[in-house]
Amino acid sequence: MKVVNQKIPSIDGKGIMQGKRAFTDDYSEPGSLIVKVLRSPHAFAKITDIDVTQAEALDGVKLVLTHKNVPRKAFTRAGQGYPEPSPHDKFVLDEYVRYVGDEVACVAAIDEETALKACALIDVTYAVLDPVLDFETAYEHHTVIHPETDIHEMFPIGFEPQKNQAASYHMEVGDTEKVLHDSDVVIKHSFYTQAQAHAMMEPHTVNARIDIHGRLVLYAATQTPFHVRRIISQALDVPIQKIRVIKPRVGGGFGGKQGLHGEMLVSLVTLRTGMPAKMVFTRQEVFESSYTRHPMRIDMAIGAQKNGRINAIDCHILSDTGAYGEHALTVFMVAGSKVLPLYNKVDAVRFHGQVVYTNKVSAGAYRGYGAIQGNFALESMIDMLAKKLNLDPIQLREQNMILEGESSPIFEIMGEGTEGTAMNMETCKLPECISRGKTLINWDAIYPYKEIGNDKIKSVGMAIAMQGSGIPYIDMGAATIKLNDAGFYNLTIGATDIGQGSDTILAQIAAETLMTTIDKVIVYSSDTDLTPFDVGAYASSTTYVTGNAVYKCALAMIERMYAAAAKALKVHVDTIDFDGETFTSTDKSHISLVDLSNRITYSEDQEQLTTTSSYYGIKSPPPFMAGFVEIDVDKETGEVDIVHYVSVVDCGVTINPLMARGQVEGAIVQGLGMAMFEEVKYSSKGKMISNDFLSYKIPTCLDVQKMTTEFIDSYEKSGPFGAKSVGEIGIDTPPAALANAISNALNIRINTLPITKEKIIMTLFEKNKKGDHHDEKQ
Amino acid sequence: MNIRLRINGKWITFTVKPDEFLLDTLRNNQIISVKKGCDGSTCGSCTILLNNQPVLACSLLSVRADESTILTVEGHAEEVEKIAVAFGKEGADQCGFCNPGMALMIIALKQSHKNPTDDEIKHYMVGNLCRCSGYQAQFKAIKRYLEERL
Amino acid sequence: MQITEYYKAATVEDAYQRLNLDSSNAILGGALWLKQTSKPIQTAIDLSALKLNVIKQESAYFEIGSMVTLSQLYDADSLHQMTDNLLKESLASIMGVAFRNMATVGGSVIGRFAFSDLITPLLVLQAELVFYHQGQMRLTAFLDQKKPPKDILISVRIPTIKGRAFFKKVSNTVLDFSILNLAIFKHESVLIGVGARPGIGTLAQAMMDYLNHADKIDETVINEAVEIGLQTIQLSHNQRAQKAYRKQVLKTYLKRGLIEVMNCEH
Ligand SMILES: Cc1cc2nc3c(=O)[nH]c(=O)nc-3n(C[C@H](O)[C@H](O)[C@H](O)COP(=O)(O)OP(=O)(O)OC[C@H]3O[C@@H](n4cnc5c(N)ncnc54)[C@H](O)[C@@H]3O)c2cc1C
Ligand code: FES
Ligand code: FES
Repeated sequence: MKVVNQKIPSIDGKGIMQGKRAFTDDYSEPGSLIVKVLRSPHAFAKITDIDVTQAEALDGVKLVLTHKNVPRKAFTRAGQGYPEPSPHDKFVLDEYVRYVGDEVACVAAIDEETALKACALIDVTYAVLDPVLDFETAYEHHTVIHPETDIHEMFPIGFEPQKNQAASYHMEVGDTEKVLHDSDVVIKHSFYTQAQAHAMMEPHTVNARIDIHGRLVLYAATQTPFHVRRIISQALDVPIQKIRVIKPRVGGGFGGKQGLHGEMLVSLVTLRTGMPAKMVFTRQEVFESSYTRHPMRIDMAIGAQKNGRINAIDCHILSDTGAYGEHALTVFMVAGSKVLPLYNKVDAVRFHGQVVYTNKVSAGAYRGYGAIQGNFALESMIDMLAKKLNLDPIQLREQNMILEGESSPIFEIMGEGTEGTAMNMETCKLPECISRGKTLINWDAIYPYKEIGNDKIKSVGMAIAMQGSGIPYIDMGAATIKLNDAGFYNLTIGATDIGQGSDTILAQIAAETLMTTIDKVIVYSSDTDLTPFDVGAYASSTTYVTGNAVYKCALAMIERMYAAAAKALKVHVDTIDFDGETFTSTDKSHISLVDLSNRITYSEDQEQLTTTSSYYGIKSPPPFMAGFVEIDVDKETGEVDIVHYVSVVDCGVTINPLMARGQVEGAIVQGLGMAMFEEVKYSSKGKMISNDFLSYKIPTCLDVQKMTTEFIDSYEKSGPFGAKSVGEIGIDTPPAALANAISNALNIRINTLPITKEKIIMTLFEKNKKGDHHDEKQ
Repeated sequence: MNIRLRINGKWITFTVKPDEFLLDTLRNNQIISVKKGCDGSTCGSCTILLNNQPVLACSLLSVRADESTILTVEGHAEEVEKIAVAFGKEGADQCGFCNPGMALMIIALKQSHKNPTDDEIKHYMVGNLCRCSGYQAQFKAIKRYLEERL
Repeated sequence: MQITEYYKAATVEDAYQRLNLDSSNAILGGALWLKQTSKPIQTAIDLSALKLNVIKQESAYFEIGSMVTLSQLYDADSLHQMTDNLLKESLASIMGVAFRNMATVGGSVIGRFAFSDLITPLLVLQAELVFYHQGQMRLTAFLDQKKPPKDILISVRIPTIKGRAFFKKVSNTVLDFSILNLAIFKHESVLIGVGARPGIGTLAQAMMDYLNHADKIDETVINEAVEIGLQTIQLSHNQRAQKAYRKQVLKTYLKRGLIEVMNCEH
């Protein structure tokens, strides 16, 4: 392959580094109204009175919006396909505010100073209500977070707002209780995973204007422009054909920009005033008023035989969706569906639990999407089981894990919010990932630990993981290819490049198929007027789903070109061969692509060659990986150095090995942040106290000393050029790998993320107090 | 108040408020290569060179920059191009939001350090956050640029 | 941050007059911290024309102008030679280069930040502050004042005493505030400072007295000293860590630091 599987630099990286107009705010119209939101100081309150007269009277204020003058139609900001598996429980503005930072009112003014002044002039009377801040007491709490009656689920998801339940689910294969009971050993533990902030570098940004045709045109930093268009149309009752959403370059999303944030209010401002308007979230708003990862409590039980055979896994999860139910059901389900099949040889497996509302920032989609939470629990449990059975943790995995050609009943039972799709693992290189990783991390020399002096211990830990590649039968991506004179192509796709490089890899797929070079494929993406539909950047779908669409589309284009060439050469199409540049017939007559395209553009048989293809998956082949961490831990202070992180990944063929590596390494570091110190924290009153980069820390370039990332040879037949996905898989292993390494080093088990220095020391203290020197706390 | 800045070689006069920060002055005047990531001196996206020293534009009062020389990536086109090539070759660019600030930081690093060690490079770059890359490829790209393997 | 008026002072006297004209007038250091604050400033007084951004080496002390940036201080090699890189290490742990190019020594001292990684080493270096109106005073005395004076800090003086040093910052990432920081400086006597307890930096006086009166320094003496330190240095909890963890970290690094600077065998 000449273009695919080659280390091609991203097609737009240079322009972005040169500071060219690229990001959403770069496209805002000079003189746009500045939109600011007055936000709730209370975790839960009812607005009993709101007086905006002073704010409206302020010079320069163009519009003040409150719940009294906006449409009231429940929707979800989740940014998913339709009908959404998330409850419609959000209003443009509401009389209730459900977390500190929730929207009370919105001001549009000629400049920021005026807008802020006007916000301060809005006189709000609140009836402050008792908030629910502890998700473990939320269910059937006397406080009902969503008492309103005009909210609903789109299909049954277990939505019971009067009990503070956003969703619930139950599935079981076999008789889990019985199989557990009959097992030689059973271990049961609870795990807590925290809220993590997306902390993408570009804040949520949107701007709007009315175009010459009276249509609303948005530039938005979004992962889902088509869903944004639909949701705005539905919630604001604007005909969908009156809306155009353009996604320019996006400065990172990680799921945080799958949902709608400023889009609704800015649209409404521009629709009402007719004036261009813009909103850039402050960093504080990004933290306090967008999304976090769903915190969870995971109760897990594993039953096994003494010889290491795992008989049953029981997984119960309580998930906290915060004030609104975005992705409540689906994130929670993925914590089972993309985790439990790892050990597919069980006789019984159960997954059940519920997702509750609390008066905290809404949880939303976040890279890993439940799998990182579930993986932390399961992959910690496997090491604990190994310890209990006195078996090698890697061998235990190898004995029980899913292998190529195998399946798991879970695939068929659990989808995302709906039923799943049965599939066999056409590619699963877990054994190779593990053995290569073991070598790279020097496992045998270090495991379980080595004293290295100065109170320091070196140890290793590992975990395996799987993810998916799009949502079968739901995620659809489409591509259009147009042949231009002089023989270059336009590739238009709905897929949204948010920094992961999809514009580049889709161009590579097109170029490879068309047998041309990447400079001949001009990419334009994510414009609801001009590009074909795509669900957007989520669920690790773009390479696999849209990539397949691009591949199909390019093949169709070649067919069209053959036909045109046959016409030009006056030969039968079957006699022609095309090498990317020239069409040659068996009779030696030939025409170059340049000449052919010029011919059909300007002189003879004129026609515009355009092909459009779309694709939806009929399965979601999981990428797999093994993650290994080498740490040096100071047993006196709990300080941990991440000395080396080894990732060996089976994501099929890497369309772009450079970018695939970037996806994995970026995700590993994000996962390590979650494993080690990232944590959204609240005051006792429910105010977020980790609301800037001073109080919420993300990893710096000094936090990981070395990374080795390799891809195992693997070819997924159903993927474009053999590819699966790679966007999320990297984030899953760090929490469990680190917890296991700490356990190997210090013989302590930490089941609550993040594993801070402090927690390590406090757990050690506890262990020493108990005099329990021999066995890990079970 | 009026201030005069020599931006990328051109003297420009701006009218600014006493509490206006240089990042807003620049962006409001269509110098958009400088990014606002945090507006609180914690991320490095807004890095510019002020009299050849890297500073954070989000936290520099515009009035205090009066009569200064300011360089953004546009003013260092040649070096930035090389850095971009190095980033491309190492797959170091993802969303790119952090990259203009990083590029200026790298230029400053090259000017102030002859043959920086790995550790010096990392310590020099530590104030520039990137949420996408995991830093490894960036680090390789910086080395590639410094060693002129382009 | 809100500023109604910007004023570039022509002389220190001019700045001092301005500062005391209105209670909401303020001096601008690097203004990085001021930017994080919400209290409106009437007149923001800029000292940048007053040549306070120089480091001078006199025979008895180094004089560091209050407008010297943390980067300038980081580059003051002769100072670091004398102090065994104590300040250099502490400065390296404060944010990044671009940040340090802006933050000033004056603002770092006057801010009296409890988390400060600079004040702790300055304490053990026995720094003196030179104010325009109040004249010279010890850093310790300044930190003891209930309310900082409405005065202008001209410079920070560090006596020319050569010694061995140890510095440690424990934090979640290099860009985070300290969970605890520790500075030890040993010449004829030893000085020990602890900051981010989370209370502001302080000298570990009882511990210093014990060590400075000990006949010989060996591991037993150090252990005893650490014990005294743990009993006398006030620690507490905040968002970044609880007290018990701070205590453990303090204990560990006091011991490690002392062994290192005292040159004593483990
Ligand atoms: C995001 C961030 C992260 C930080 N992280 C750390 C860290 O990890 N470790 C650490 O030690 N520090 C840290 N700091 C503090 C930083 O190092 C500086 O100490 C701080 O910014 C103050 O310096 P400045 O020059 O910005 O002062 P300014 O903000 O300008 O001033 C601070 C105060 O001092 C007054 N002032 C300034 N100069 C004078 C003078 N000459 N005379 C009288 N009054 C004066 C001002 O009026 C103001 O009240 C951090 C600060 C920020 C903003
Ligand atoms: S925007 Fe200036 S440091 Fe983040
Ligand atoms: S590339 Fe996205 S923040 Fe650095």
